[in-house]
Amino acid sequence: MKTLIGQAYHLYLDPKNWSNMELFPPLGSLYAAAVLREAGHEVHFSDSMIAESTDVWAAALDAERPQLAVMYEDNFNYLTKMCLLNMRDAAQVMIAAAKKTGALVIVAGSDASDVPETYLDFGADVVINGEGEITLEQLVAALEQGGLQNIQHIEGITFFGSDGAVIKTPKRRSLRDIDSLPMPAWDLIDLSRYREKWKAHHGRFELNIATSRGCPFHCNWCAKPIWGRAYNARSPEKIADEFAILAKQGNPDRIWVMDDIFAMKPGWARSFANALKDRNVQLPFKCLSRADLLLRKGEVEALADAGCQELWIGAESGSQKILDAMEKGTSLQQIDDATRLLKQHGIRVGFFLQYGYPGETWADIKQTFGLLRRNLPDVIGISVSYPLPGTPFHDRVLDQLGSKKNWQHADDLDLMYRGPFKTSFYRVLHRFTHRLARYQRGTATPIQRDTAGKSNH
Amino acid sequence: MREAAGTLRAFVYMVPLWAQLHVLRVTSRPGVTPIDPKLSRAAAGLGAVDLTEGK
Repeated sequence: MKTLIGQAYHLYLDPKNWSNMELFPPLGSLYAAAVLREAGHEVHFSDSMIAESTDVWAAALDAERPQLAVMYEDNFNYLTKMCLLNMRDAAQVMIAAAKKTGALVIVAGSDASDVPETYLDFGADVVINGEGEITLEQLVAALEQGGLQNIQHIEGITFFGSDGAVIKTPKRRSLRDIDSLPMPAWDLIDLSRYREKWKAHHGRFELNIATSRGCPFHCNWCAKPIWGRAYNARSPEKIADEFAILAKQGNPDRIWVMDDIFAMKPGWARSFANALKDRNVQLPFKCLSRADLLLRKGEVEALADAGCQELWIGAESGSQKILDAMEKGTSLQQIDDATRLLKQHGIRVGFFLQYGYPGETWADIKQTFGLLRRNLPDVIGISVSYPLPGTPFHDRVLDQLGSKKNWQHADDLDLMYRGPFKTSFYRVLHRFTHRLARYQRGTATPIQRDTAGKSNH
Repeated sequence: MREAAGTLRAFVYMVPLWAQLHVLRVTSRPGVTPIDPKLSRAAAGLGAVDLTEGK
């Protein structure tokens, strides 16, 4: 079938991230494109990440006149997991544009998985729930054979039945052998435009990769609409091959490994470092991990050997009481120890912080300032607790939510439930903490920086 | 030199934000959602995550 793939997530509709201009191709959508193409379909691509208007999608529809319009979000990018209202509005416009051309419309992504009926009401014909590649492939084959009357047997979809009732088919199990998927269809996007933007704003160029899918941990605020608590990883050798290909074709200065948790399997990081060495590939990368996993023997050393340049930890809070309430499963001591280890191996450290979790007091917030002072992370990212559907946290505060249930954009920081303080407090706290962290780093002596994280609890 | 200027700028911006933060802290309503100890995974009798789960 002649298919056009696009995404509702437009970076230009997310002011903070548009200004940061850390622009990554929609990797998940490129996987979907590759799968359909391998199945023999004619696939075209509209790249919303770099677009500056939804008109780009409309123009692609006009140019290609596809039988099928697929809006497939990049599920690897945390920005799509935020289910922002600006993107939902864009989706509505895009679905209407596609319907106007007579195309069938399929939607896949975190927000559509959370609220499929909303997208069906916008005019979508089918919503894919959760991980989408195999569902999409089967769905397109079924549509080609028998149209919308022939899709009831496909797992993992929601659609309106002939009587107008919403039909949700059984959930599809996550794909275990993700090495079996083809390489993302990199050729369908214009990498030179990404390179230009990166160079102009940052003086370097970064590309992205995913080595695993999902996260088995159970932080009770974390939404997992795509993979649930399943976790599947690709082989270190395959990833090393892909690093080699990206180095050759894209020539990036650094890779962002988009996994929720990089190298979670015991021994994976060491195997990966060895596989890169065998292939003589040297390509720095940044990634995310957990403090407890980093303390496994030889883990940080293996990451450094593989080329890890920057590692982000979901530190969340400087209060153990809050970490326990979140069911984070890590301790402050582990954060301190992991930070020290990373710095000793020359890896830059990033902390994700979260304010406003129920029960957090001013004393807890001051402990977070202390966490920063002790550890002096090189970079921090701050958010406030955001109740997304499907999480225990969301269920707990559900009766406090008003009509606004999602953020408009990533910098909204609206505390949508009755939190410890008002939203205005957190918006100032967000700015203050960034300044504080910068000030702490600037006034620390080199010795303090080298031994950051050395403390007793 | 550039780093020192950045640090100084951070301090200069920090002071009014600190004052603003305290005004908002005092005028903001304190929390109404206490931590539910029953949410604790250990209390719920659930085990630790199995790292060998999945492929």
